[in-house]
Amino acid sequence: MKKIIAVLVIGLSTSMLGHAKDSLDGCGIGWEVTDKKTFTATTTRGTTNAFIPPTFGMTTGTMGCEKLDIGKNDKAAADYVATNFEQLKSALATGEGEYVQALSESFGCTDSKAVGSKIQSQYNSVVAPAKNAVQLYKGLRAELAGMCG
Amino acid sequence: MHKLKRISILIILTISFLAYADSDPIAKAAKDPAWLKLLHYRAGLFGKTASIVDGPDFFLSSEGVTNPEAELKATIQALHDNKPWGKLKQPMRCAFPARRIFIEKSLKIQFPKTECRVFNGFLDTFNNPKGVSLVFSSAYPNNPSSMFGHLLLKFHSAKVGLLDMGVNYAAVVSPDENPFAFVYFGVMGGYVGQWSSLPYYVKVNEYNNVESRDLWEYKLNFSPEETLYLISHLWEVETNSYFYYYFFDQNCAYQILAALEVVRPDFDLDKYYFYMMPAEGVKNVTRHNSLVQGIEFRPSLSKIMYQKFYALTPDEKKTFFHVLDKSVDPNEVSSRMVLDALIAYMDFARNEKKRVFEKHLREARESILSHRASLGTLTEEELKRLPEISKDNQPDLGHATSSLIFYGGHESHSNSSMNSETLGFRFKTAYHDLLDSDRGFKRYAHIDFPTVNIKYRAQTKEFRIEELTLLSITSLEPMTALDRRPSWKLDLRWTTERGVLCPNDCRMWEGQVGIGASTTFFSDRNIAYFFSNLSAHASSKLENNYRLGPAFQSGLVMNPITWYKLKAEYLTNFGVLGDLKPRRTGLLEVSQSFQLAQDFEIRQVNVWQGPENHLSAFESRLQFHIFFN
Repeated sequence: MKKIIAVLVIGLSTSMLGHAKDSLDGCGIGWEVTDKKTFTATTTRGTTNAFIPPTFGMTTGTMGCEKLDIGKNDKAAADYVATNFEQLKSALATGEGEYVQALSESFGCTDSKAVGSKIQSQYNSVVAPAKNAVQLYKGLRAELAGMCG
Repeated sequence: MHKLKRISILIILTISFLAYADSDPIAKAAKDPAWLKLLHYRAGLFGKTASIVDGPDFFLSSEGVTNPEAELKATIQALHDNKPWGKLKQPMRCAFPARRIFIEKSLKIQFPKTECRVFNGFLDTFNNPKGVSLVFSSAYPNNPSSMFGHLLLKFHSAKVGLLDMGVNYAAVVSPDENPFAFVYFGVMGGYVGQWSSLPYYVKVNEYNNVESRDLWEYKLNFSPEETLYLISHLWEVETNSYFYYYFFDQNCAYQILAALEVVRPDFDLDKYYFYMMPAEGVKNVTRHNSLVQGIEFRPSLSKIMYQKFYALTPDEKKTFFHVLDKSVDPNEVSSRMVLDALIAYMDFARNEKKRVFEKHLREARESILSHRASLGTLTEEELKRLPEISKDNQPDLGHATSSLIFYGGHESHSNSSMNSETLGFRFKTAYHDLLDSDRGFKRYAHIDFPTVNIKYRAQTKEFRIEELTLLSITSLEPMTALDRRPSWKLDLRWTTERGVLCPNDCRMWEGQVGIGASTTFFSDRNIAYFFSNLSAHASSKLENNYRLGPAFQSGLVMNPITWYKLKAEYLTNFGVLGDLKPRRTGLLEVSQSFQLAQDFEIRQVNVWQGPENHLSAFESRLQFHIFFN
């Protein structure tokens, strides 16, 4: 009975809300950015990253991007940049913060302050020209090549 | 003497039998709470035990659903045979790694080593986790599937938390699902639940940035071995079976807590009365002081934006707006604080005001970012200017979900024969209204689920169901200089009218839906609001059986100190179609609440109502609210 009442009353509130289309944001792992008005927003996000691995039809990695020439050790960094492209642009402009620290760790660097400082100083040659995550990843990889493991 | 001897022998034989039964290790292990929770057995009605796992391949015995011992015996045999099993056709020892660990530990049975390529590949993605956190994402009232918050898990392996692995449990729903079907199937268990893993930064982006929701991370004192056991169990459920997803009970909170109980079977974490609310799930964990090692708070993008904006001086704020209206070139701004506030605002707009961002801000953002990069990092003095972000909505500090409200009072009517002393109680299944303490909750959000009000009136000497509220939601979004979103409300109830819409006493359906605006005043603890509503009443006692028309509602809620709130609200309702007598009604409420303990509140309520320009009814009552879950 509780469930029937819940269905009836929630149905009313749901009719007030839109149902926007999910869209893929950038390249990277199989994550869909959903507009918060999407009715099923919080419940569709699980579907593309189920435990069952890619060999069974799920896609991860650089879905939606050009093919990147990356080794296994670089995949974590590539995925991180791909998913956080816009946040990274903001964080790298300020030169500090958790997004910069995570970038540093994902590239195998031990000194995130030095990484943040270096990329901030080279922002206009490394970050600003990058039109997408692929370009940003390549630029960061080149810039940090001598600095990190 | 012979009788005494026979009784003695009988007792000895009984004890020997019991002793033998206890010495059967498999029978004993099958009763171990660790095994029962690993298989998700629950005691049902009349003491019958059954597993709540819904997919058949989870059980290796034909009686496995209801017989823990049969399932344990079948599992031992199956692990010996090691045949392919489940969705992935993996060797049995790889399909059920947690069961293998349990059996090897508790029964001292050692199975031969098996290479589990797929399971090990999956484990590698967690990068040697050392521990796990329970993560609560705060409520988002504008989406029914998020209005009570969400729970997920975060497995620690990295130095920086963003790089940890997140694990989520959610219903599998088609992206183009019809909203009404979504609600129906979600409530009735029409969807399969699914465990998924993805880098934690994906969930942080989703909740913190896209939806501007806070994240609270409760670090649990699980050892690396216990963490591995937890992951192994989630693997054996997800790759062999499934649960049906029920929004209100067997939801994300329930399944995550049930999974934690697999590791710590001595705890009962997934208990609830009516709804398994994520916040209550958090409280179930924090009640055990030994379980939680620490709490980390990740504020939403919106809170970070306001933090940076409120750190600005009045002149800096002017510069901020001049950059936005393009009367100042951002390259001429030398203040790092102003530029950081602009960057935070633009990140917020990119997620929450997409059209505005794409049309007016995208290009300016590139220029601002480049210029900001030339100015270096914030100094210590600048960092000290950032105000602290409030942590009042920490979920384990909030009142419980359901409440019993006892009240006594008095009704006065212009028809004095209807005057009466009253006594009554309300039972509210969930959740939180504008006069409840906001500690632990999103401010200004009111969500009430089915509530029944039973009242005794001395005048008629009878108990009656006075009101049944099916749903009442008010979402107040205070308009600020940075964000101007509308507020909205929805009410549906079956109620008793006395002397206003009908001359004596009548029952009617009442519904309102409205849109409005709100703003804080003096501080963010006080809010004023205004709504334009569409109001409908239906009753056989009304002329034409209904009344439809606009209603206008304005009010304020003040919260000068944490434990005290004052609310004043006026609602005026016009009849346009149907019963037009009286053409206009008014209702004025002035109420106060006093939170005396986390789950106890006293409230004093005064309501005046009447037709046209005079008030013909007044009710005053003193209420005692007891919250529970």
